[in-house]
This record gives sequence, C-alpha cells and structure tokens, in this order.
Amino acid sequence: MREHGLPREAYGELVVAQRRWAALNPHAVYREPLSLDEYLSAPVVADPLCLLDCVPVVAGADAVVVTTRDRARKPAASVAAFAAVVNVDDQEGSGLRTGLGEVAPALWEQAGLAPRDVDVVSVYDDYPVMVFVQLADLGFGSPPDVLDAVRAERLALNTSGGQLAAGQAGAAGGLHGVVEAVRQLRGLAGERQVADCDSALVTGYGIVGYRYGICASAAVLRRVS
Amino acid sequence: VSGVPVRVCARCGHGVFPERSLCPRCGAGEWALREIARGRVEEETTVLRAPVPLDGPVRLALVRLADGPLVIARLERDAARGDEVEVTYQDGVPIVRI
Repeated sequence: MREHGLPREAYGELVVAQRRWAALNPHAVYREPLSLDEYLSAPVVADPLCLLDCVPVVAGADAVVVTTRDRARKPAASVAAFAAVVNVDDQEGSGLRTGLGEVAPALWEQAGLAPRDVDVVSVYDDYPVMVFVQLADLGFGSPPDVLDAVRAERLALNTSGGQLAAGQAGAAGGLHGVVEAVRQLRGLAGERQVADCDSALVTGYGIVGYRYGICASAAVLRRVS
Repeated sequence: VSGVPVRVCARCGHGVFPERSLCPRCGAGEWALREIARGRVEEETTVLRAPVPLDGPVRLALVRLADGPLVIARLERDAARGDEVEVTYQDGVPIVRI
C-alpha cells in the first residue's frame, strides 16, 4: 500500500469485485454480496490486512484433462504461450515483484496477443496485493489502471470469484485459475460465462522461500473450436 | 546474548538466513557461522490473530541485520521503522527484546 500510495479501499474494491463473480459460482465458499463498508469493517488480521484480504482455506480439488488436439472434445482450450520464472532477487527485495516482468514480453509475443486482448484473466490471488503485483509485471498497468479496467468491465478478472472468494484448496489452489479459464473457454461457466471467450491468461505464484514467493508462471490459453 | 546465526558464504561473503545448502549468489556450499545481534527495523506489524501456539497479539518486524540479510523477528518491545535494535535468537526465532 505504501509503495503504490494505495488506500485500503483499493484492495477492498478488488475483493468486492471478485465477490460479485463468486455470487455466480455455485462452488465458491463466499457467495453472499459484499459491500466496501463491510470489507472495511472486517476484523484486522495483521495491520493493514483484514480477514477478507486473506484466502479462506477450504477442502477441494481441481483437475483438467490433457489430451491431443484431435481427441479433445470441442470447444477445447489449448496452450498458446507459457512462461515460468524464478524470482532472482533471492528474498532481498520488497516482494512486490514476481519475476513475471522478465518473461512477459516473450509470453505475449508467443501468444500473439497483448494484455488488453485477453477475454478472461485468472490471477493467483492469495492476497489482493499479489493480484496487483502480477498484473503490473504482465503489462496490465498500475493498481489504479487495473481498478479502472475492472470498473469499466474491460477486465474480467478472477471470474470464479478467485481464491479470495471461492477458497484456497491447499495445494490444489495452483490449478484453480486454470480450471476457471478452461471452463470459460469451453463455454461451461454457467451464469458467469463471459460472452465470446476466445482467450485467457492464467498465472501462478508461490513457494514461499522465507518472506515471499520464489517463483511464478503464466500461460495464455486459446479456445479451439 | 547471542545474535542471529547467519551463514556467511566462504567464497563470496554473502550472508543468508535461514541456512541454505548453496549460496544463492555464487553457488558455493561452504559456510562460516557468524552471529549478528545488531539490526535496523524496516517494517513492523501486529498480528492480532496469531496462529497456535502463540497467544494473543504478536508483533513482528522485518529487520535488516548489520552487514547481513533481512530477518523476520518477534518484537517484545516497542520499535518503529528505522529504529536500531538488538536481535537475540531463541528456539529458532529472532527476537527483539532490548
């Protein structure tokens, strides 16, 4: 918050926006509507983070079926670009960089897309700050830029509700965003289906070395009809 | 009073905490042990809902050890960003007590 000059409301707006998506996801653990005032009055866990900034731990599982393009039932999702990176700052930085910035240009070039082109974005969200950090590294702009895009409905962000609303199912959390992106690309997202969903970005982040995650990954998926 | 046990790389002098197998800077695997008790507070927070077995609010600080790495320390006294502090080490936990 200090580095980007953000008030608590900036994290809150992200959490509230994801909760709106979660209301449309029957598998989410938090589905009831959430107001910004309710977010701001949630119990503090560790100043400045409140209960609703921290992923709820749930039991659950994720799975995807991987097969050849010919055998996949259409519409399917295919991997257009993939990148993984170790954060080389070795726990000596602020934790507000993930390493994705180093691989983002090659990722977008390989995908033949730009950040503004993707229809659905699933960002690993253990805390709101990590959503902002990864999106900044991947070229989506500063936190205020991201919030503008969410408000204007130009950015369909964590349409399952994300882990902050759907829950973090232990080690299965790493696939949460993949499953949501594949559902959207295959047209299986029910009430929260994004119209004409042709492309999706998915990220992963984690393995806390001492103070923050040591590695990150990102993939661009495309619909195959 | 003992300080935080920092492993200092025998080849390049880089200090790490907690201990590592290989030096992240030069890749060597030989270490010398150095206890560092002085540091400066870079961040601090209060965890109001601490995990078991800790009871009640727990204050934590990110401390830059003198000529050493950043460590997460428990605050048992008032300390603010920028304060010079002495860090002790007990049961695997850096603690700012004095």
